[in-house]
Amino acid sequence: MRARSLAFFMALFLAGNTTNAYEIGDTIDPEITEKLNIEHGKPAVIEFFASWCASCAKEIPEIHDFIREDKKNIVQVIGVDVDEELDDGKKFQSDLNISFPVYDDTDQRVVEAFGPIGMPALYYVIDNKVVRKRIGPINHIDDQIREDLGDLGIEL
Amino acid sequence: MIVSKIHKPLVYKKMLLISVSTLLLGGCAVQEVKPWQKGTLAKETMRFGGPNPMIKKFDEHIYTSKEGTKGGGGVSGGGCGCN
Repeated sequence: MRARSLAFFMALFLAGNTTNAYEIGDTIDPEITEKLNIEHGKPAVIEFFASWCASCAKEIPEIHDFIREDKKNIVQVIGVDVDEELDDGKKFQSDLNISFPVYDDTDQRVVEAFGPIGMPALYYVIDNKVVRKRIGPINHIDDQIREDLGDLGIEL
Repeated sequence: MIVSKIHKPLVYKKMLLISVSTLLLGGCAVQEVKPWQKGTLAKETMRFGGPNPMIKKFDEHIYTSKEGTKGGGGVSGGGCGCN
């Protein structure tokens, strides 16, 4: 009886503390795939950013550098702006001249599904599956993306 | 056997009471701010001394005069340091 009670309370505790954030190997919901317009069969790099995130402003020009290097357009780069205020997000995107497609996640549903523990956050998605993630600011993110893709067997 | 039969409903009642209390008290818990919800915290109005730098300077002047020391009011770092 004691063991059953303990199991019950453990289950109750875990039920209140679990999050459904995507981890490596998880399949992305079709709803999110549609929102982000992820092309099937093409590796995707998803960058989460916000106007208030200073490191994001530093990383985005380096992501542009990576896109320029990807001449054969092998990788699909998608931005997710998590700003709740659309105007703030649009101003930030325009100030940085963002050239890749950006999803304005004003209701923060997409970022909640991914559940990164810090900003900026970078997710690698292949065949609708999260295959790698990089959380937090990274110097020379373009080099890091190239290295990560190489590890995943994708050469530019 | 008879004793356990008598006590069983009591145990279940107790478990139900604890479960309901846990759920209700959970509602009073402080909700953590998720990393993507820090837009409001990053606003100038959320700084010590507010958006006007003069107010902060004035506060610092009073602090320095009264305590004979200064500094330690800033915030360092910005990333999560996860990698």
